[in-house]
Amino acid sequence: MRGLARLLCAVLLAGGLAACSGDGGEGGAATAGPGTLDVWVMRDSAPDDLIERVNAEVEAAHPGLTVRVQVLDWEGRDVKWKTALAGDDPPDVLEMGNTDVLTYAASGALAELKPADYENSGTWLKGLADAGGYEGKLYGVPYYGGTRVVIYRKDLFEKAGIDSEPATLAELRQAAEKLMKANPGEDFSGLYFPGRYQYGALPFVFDAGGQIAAKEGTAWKGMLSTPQSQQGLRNWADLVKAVSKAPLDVDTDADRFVDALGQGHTGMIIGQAWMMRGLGEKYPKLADQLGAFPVPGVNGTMPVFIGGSNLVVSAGSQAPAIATEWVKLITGTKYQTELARSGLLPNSTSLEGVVEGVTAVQMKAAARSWFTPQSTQWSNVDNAQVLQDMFQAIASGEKSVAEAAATADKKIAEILNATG
Amino acid sequence: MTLTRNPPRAAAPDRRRRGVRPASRSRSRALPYVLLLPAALGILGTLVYPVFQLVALSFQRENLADLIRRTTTWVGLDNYTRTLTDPQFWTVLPRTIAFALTCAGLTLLIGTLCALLLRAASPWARLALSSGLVVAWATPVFIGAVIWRWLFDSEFGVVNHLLTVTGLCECRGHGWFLTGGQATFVLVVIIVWGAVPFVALSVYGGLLTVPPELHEAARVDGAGATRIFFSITFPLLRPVYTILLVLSLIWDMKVFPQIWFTTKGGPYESTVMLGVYIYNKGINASQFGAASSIAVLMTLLLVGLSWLYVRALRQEAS
Repeated sequence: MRGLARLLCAVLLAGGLAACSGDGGEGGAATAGPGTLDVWVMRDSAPDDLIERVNAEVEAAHPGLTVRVQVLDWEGRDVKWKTALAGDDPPDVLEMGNTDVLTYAASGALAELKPADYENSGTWLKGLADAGGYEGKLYGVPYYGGTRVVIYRKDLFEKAGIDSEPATLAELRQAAEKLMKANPGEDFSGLYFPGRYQYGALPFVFDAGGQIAAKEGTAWKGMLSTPQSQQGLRNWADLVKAVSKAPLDVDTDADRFVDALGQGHTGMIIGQAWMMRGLGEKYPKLADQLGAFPVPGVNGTMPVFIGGSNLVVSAGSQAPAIATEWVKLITGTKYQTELARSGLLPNSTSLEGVVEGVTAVQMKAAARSWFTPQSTQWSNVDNAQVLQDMFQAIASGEKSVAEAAATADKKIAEILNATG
Repeated sequence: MTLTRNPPRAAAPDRRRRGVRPASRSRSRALPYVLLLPAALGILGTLVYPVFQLVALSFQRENLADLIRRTTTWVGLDNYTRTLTDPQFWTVLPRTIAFALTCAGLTLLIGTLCALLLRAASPWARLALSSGLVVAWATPVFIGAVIWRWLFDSEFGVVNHLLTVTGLCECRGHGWFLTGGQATFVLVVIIVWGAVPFVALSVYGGLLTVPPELHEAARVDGAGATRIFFSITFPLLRPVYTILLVLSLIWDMKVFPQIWFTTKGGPYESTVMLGVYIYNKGINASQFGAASSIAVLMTLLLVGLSWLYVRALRQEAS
């Protein structure tokens, strides 16, 4: 009956004929007392039971409070955030991808936070701390990180006679070629590298001393045509053309990576560290055959892009004090230690001691990192697929490195310098 | 016509003579309006209000900050000047029109062939064919798009596999989304596939109204199948075709999910049609005002097409 009543309510509301009074537990802002704290986290973020314990701790400190957690999918998240943040009763705490925070901070949708309130704020991972700031103020507290690493099959390495993990780009290529010699299948890639995989390919640019874009005075300039960047792009193209049979018209796709490695179409992938968990679950026989090492660059480790999430408090939150309390708790040493043990990269270098396995590999890789240009227009470069198109054009041989880079630079400057 | 109009007029005084009281007369006059009210409110809420909002937005500066702070800045025709001076608009618009014309044309052609096949087929074959058409029609658009994307996948795709196995081409690992031309081809396939059932069943319905004697007479006179179609069937079904063409054009102009779930407008922005252009501007870049102006222009274009549709409907009615 209640379901029916709600349905009727919804129909009436949709028709604009009547307003329904909330029946039990749907109070939101109107409820007296602390009421509810709405927390929106992303799929595949911290383990559920960890979040539940944080909720329990906050609820215990505030009798009568309920923490409501909603899990969002990464695809289409912006539409939900924009709608919710512009509404009357926005969620109190939101997890955002670190590349997402800037746009929302600049729009005034987020509450300013004080670094001093948070544990370990002096030793936060640089990529996450930078991502949470806007005009010198903090809006997003580092939650957890993630870097890309090379994930490989130990059994295939052994079969190919590779006895140590590659430490330089040259060694990586040798290893890939040995793998291909030992597995002469037509589809076998030494290193599986899709042509539009921008976050796998961009590190090559930074490795050679290049960058994507830079601000000159007040204007942005694309930097992919600089000799250093072009060298990086060539290093990448040479490797991919020699050792990858992956499709050129495909971007990152976790399932594709997992299956390519799991079904033996490749010996190595450059993937998110959390893919190892999924690989072990989908291909149990391989669970103890998987290894990981930092992506090797020309000289030593390649500078990685630190992905990950920050936690923000909405400017329209009805309970900002409780919201920050929740954020403080989950980003503090106690829960970050647990988070690190579950395989996510913790938000602070001070927790280096507790990480092990692939998380330790990530921590090591995170020492040299880079971040996307700090412009509120950056997501438009992403949406226009400028970099993906550039990498595909180079990998397919449709354009030379110089041509493709020049096209991308022009487009990047156009988009970043556009006025909203 | 005059004959049929007269009786109700004559009936009205009749009712008065029977002594219907004025009060209930006004109530019975109000009744149709009361019955129309829910539908009218629905249309008002779901169509008129959003269109009104859209037009209003197109004259405002509305970005994410404005949305969050709920500020309204009227900027006059600013958004329209920006749209009309955006070079991308002028590549996307003709591309969209050409794309819609191609899709609509192919849809009508294949739809007609299917309809003729339906008429000629034996009952069980007709049942199988029409069930197939209905199933394709019933597939949700975005699910269809995702499936087609996988069929054309360069690595695991069935299309490459079949082409290679049948020896038509050495297509192992061929990337269908590497160039704009082939990516557009795949999109045309997806859209035509989704649109053919409606056209096929509509034309088939039309075919059933063509008296078989006409065909027999033509055949006796020695006309072939092609001649019969163009001299008898097509002229008789012209109104049906006009309506189907206009409807197909409207649907194909505003196509969005089929593109978004396959190419997202790539590669090299070569498959950005008006729908994707608006989505990128509005939802992705948060320039809601600018996006609204594009949407208004597109609406005007579609209203033009709809006007043709309504005119065709009226012609058919008379």
